[in-house]
Amino acid sequence: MSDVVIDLPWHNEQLYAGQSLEWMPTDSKIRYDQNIKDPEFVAIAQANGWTTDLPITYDINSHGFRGKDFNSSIKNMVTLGCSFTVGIGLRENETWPYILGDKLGLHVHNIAHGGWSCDTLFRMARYWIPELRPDMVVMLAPSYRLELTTGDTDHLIITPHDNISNDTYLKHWFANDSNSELNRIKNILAIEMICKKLNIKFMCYLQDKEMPGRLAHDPTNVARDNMHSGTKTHNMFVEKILRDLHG
Amino acid sequence: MIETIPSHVQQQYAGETLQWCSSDSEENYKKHLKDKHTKTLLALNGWLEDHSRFADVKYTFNSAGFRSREIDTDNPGFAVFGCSFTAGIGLIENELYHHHIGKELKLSVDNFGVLGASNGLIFRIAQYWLPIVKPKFVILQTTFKERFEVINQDNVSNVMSPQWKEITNQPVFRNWWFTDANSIADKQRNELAIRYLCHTLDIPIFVIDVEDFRNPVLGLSRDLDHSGPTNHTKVAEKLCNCIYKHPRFEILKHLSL
Repeated sequence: MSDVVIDLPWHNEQLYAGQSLEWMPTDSKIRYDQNIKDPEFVAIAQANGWTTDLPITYDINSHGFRGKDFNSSIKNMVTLGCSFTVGIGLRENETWPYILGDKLGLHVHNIAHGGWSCDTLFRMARYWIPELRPDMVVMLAPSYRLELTTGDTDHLIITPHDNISNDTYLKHWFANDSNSELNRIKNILAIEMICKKLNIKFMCYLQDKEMPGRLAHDPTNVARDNMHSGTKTHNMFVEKILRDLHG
Repeated sequence: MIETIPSHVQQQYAGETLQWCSSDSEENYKKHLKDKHTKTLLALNGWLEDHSRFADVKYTFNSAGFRSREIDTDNPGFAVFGCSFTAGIGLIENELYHHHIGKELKLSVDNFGVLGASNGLIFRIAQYWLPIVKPKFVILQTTFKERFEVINQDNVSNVMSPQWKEITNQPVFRNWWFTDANSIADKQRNELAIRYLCHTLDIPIFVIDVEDFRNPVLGLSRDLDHSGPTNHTKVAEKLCNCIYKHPRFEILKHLSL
């Protein structure tokens, strides 16, 4: 791998670099307006301050990621993941990367976006980890998704069971669970090797296990989009990471 | 981790000895004999039927479907992973690079090379077999980045390649799957993943690439599509130099002198 020059990896959220957004898929105004018609959701929204004085904003840094601008000159960590790591439907200080960084005293580089696959994370990791030289990398590996990319202009995320195409190969081969699971393992091992080479601590968790989204038995522990996990789950996840870290 | 035996081509030949295999087919050979240019190439490379080497090309597959000795966990040697260049298409077993290395280091070799393998298939085979065979070291021969393996729910393997016209005609493959960005990333992630597997098992790994074999000046194998014995000897020399430089194997150099 050392003979290949890795360029700054393209991703479609670079479009929002430097902006502060009020909504982000799946935390859209349309969905919120629909959800707020449900009295049960109104109570959740009020309890979380979504209806009044505490708006959720997505501050996107100059590289197109949620959070502060990258700064490798101070002690820092890289978090890798999908929408659960971005913290869709939550304020930034309610998300696991922020809480963990705060507890460990590390500047957070939150390299995550909604809908990303482990392939995307590998593509980001192979550039950003050597570039940022963090003290640690924590990955919340997205479940069964695969990415095909043209490298510098576009990418296509394929999710198993989605009605993505009538194409036989995509449906029965590329986008089946076995293939996706194998792909996830492979990407995790590859990112772990990048960290190993640079002597960086690496921790990895599976999103579907640690952060399953809205829970039937705990419906109030949810993000504003009524889909993603709420801040309680994010805090519990951080506690788990800290236990694993400190033994 | 995937715990089932990975499926791959060659498993259909498990326990068999073949005279011809894959691109090194009798049909191709006869075709080459009929053409003046390819017949000359066969003659130059010592592959005409009256040459003694001709009959020595045999493909003996072990019970797991590899052109190798039987897996012997009580007597670990070193393991090689790769595609047809490592499987040794069109060459006699003792002409292959890993045979030379085994002879030099006085170690047995487990040849996990698979015809037409992609880097993904090589990973899957390594992932399954490495913890079982626990070799003293690994040689990974990475292959063409354009090949992709997908498996289905039944663990059936399918290696996609741009050479398949029916596939490249489809936009999803032409515009997405086989782009350089995708292929390079896939090759890197497979290599790194195998390196990490070796790291966790404390097995030294040495990596070569298919391009190390792509020197037709150094001769051709019987199918005229793969490299000849001289190329294998040169690859073996290169690898031995790397192996001897590894702290764990430095002593072997002194023993072999």
